[in-house]
Amino acid sequence: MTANRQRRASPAAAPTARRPPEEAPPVSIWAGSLHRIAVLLRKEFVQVLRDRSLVGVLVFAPLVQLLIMGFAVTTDIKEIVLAVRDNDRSFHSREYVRTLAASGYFKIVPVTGPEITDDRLLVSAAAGLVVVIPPEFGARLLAGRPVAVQALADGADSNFAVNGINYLNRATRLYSERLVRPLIEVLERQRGVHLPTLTVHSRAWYNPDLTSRNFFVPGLMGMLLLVTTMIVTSMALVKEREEGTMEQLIVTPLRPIEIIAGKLLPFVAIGIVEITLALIVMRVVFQVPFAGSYALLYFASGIFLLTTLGLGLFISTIVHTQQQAMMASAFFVMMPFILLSGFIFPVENMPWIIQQVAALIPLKYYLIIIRGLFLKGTGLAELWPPLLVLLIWGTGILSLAALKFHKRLD
Amino acid sequence: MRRFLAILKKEFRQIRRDPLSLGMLVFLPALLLIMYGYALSFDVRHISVGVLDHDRTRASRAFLDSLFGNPYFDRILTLERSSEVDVAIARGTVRCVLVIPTGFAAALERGDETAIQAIVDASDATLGSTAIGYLEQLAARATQQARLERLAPAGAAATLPVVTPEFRVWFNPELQSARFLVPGLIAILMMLSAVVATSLSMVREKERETMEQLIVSPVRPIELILGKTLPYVAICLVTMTLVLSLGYVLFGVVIRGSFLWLSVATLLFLFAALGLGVLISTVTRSQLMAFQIAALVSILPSVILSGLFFPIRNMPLVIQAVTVIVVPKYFISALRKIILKAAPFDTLWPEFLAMFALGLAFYALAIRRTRKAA
Repeated sequence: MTANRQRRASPAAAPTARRPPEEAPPVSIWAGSLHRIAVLLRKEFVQVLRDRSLVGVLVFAPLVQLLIMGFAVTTDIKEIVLAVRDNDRSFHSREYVRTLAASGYFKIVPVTGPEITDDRLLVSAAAGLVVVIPPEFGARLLAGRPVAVQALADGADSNFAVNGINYLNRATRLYSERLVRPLIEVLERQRGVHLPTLTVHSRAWYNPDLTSRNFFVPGLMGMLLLVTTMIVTSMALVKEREEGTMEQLIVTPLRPIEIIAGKLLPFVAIGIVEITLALIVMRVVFQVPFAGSYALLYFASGIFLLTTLGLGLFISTIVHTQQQAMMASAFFVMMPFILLSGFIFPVENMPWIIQQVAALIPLKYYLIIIRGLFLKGTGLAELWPPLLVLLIWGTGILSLAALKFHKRLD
Repeated sequence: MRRFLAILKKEFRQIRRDPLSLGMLVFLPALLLIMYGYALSFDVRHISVGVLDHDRTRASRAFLDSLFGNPYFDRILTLERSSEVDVAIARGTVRCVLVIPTGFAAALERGDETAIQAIVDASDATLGSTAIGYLEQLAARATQQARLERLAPAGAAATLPVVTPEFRVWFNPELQSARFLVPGLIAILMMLSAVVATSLSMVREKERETMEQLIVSPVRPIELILGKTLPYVAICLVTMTLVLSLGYVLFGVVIRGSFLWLSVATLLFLFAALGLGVLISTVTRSQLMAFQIAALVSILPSVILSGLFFPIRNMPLVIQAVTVIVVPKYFISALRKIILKAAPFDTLWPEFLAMFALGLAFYALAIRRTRKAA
């Protein structure tokens, strides 16, 4: 591959080398610059496309990842294994267990035998919840008195436990309400009082089925776009330097900004292809609704690409070896971007100081934009602040990288 | 044995000469644990709520008051008109708006069923459904209280046949997500260091073309691979000790289980993770590919397919099948069981066996490939 690059770079450089840019009139500086960028672009495209495995890594790996992980990213809790120890075995207790089963949240597993096995169920995570129905359950309800059931929850997975508790509360309320309702009319007649019922009618906006995948999959697209474009850019320049072909590029009349433009544009093109493919997968396979404007999505993604490519470039200018480039992008970019951008955890729940760190992460703003576009159908009127931040970030990091790159040439 | 020791010595010397990488491998995971341990939380608390009270009566205000004063909802906005609801939610000013209809107090007095409306921003479904669950629970409690209050003065025993679950939450009574997340984070950080470090150390040898020298030496593939991975086992053990101590000191994550099983789990995990690193390095020629593949098989999948944040039992069966080869999955599960639940061996052996088997498979493949290359 190295030999191939040398062959391509030298003839392209030869004709322009005879005409130094400072002697040419202003118009042809532009023309010359465009010409040089075009030549470099061709070289870069040829180089990228030659490397079949790179094309695979850049286009297909993200798609496969999106397909696999898109199915994985869901916090919807469907079937919680609920172990029931019925110490009453009355009509009421069986009816209660039937209500729990009918709620659709639980997979009911009856347990009998010694009490000691209850904690084994939780330790081995064979059950997420254990409900123990006391022996006086049916008798107390018949007498019109309240009764408590004991519920053991596995708190090791706190998210799971919170949901399990919510569901068990809801199913139990349903059962109680069914017992109380007929009684209320009787009591109201007997005692001459009105008994009120307070309920909440909830309307879940933007995501009426409460499908968590609709929230996570657009985020996953942003994540994959970041990983592929940033890492490959950061390595492209470092590789050129490690292989010693950087000097050849430098001695050509190409200006640093032209080298950068030529290096980055192929990745912009690949990024756009990736977005299009990801969009198709998201709409067709995952059925994520899209409420906003596609034009705005591409516009925002283009601006986001400025930041990821700029970041990759910047990393490549400050590190010396590919190994350092990898470590830097893994620890200082990928992990914080995955965990602090709001991809999984809402930024507003983080401590103040971490929120300040998160405010520096461009992915955070991109996620606000794409989630707004996919779920809320928001437009430019609401989305201009994050767009502006991304634009400033992108141009800032690109200029910084260009400046650093320029200095290293001297 | 002497050849193996020679490789070992060479590798240790190389690591010592590169203090930057050594520092990164030991201290970065610790730093990251501190940051992420504080940052990440599933706890749905302090949901920002706007209130639109069309009724403006004492009863409506009393009901609203009963919904706040808990750690779940923060009333941060009072709306005046219905038209303001859309804006407040679209802008993200509040996550939820509660609307009390006109005639709320009157309907309550008559004993009719009275509903308030809750508009919840459910773009984050977890947050949305948890908020709805809390609201329903609070409304049910208010109903129960109101009914009993009206029954009490009228007659003798004011009781209604209702069932209430009394929860006892095991292993993590305050339901802090830090307890759940810190052991998982430890596993992920270890995975990152282990895979990245070894795959790089092997590929570096290849790129500098010193691998040929090693291969033509009388060192056997198994000696070469062991000699190159053992130093990283040592480094990773130091890192592990450091992050576990930090987990205890900063986040109160006490190791309830036995240190013996913890050590066994860690060693088996390192065996498998380093095996994966070696395998990656034997199948790739350039560092670019090595890193892409390392990222592909370690970073993102470790986060998404390991059960760290997204429960595996919720995934479709095909994806569950894919997670079988995700090494950190077993380590996370084992760490959670040991650290939080003090699990005995008979609930841990499936994880141990899986890590051991995966490690063996990775090494066998790596050795075969090294032999071929030679």
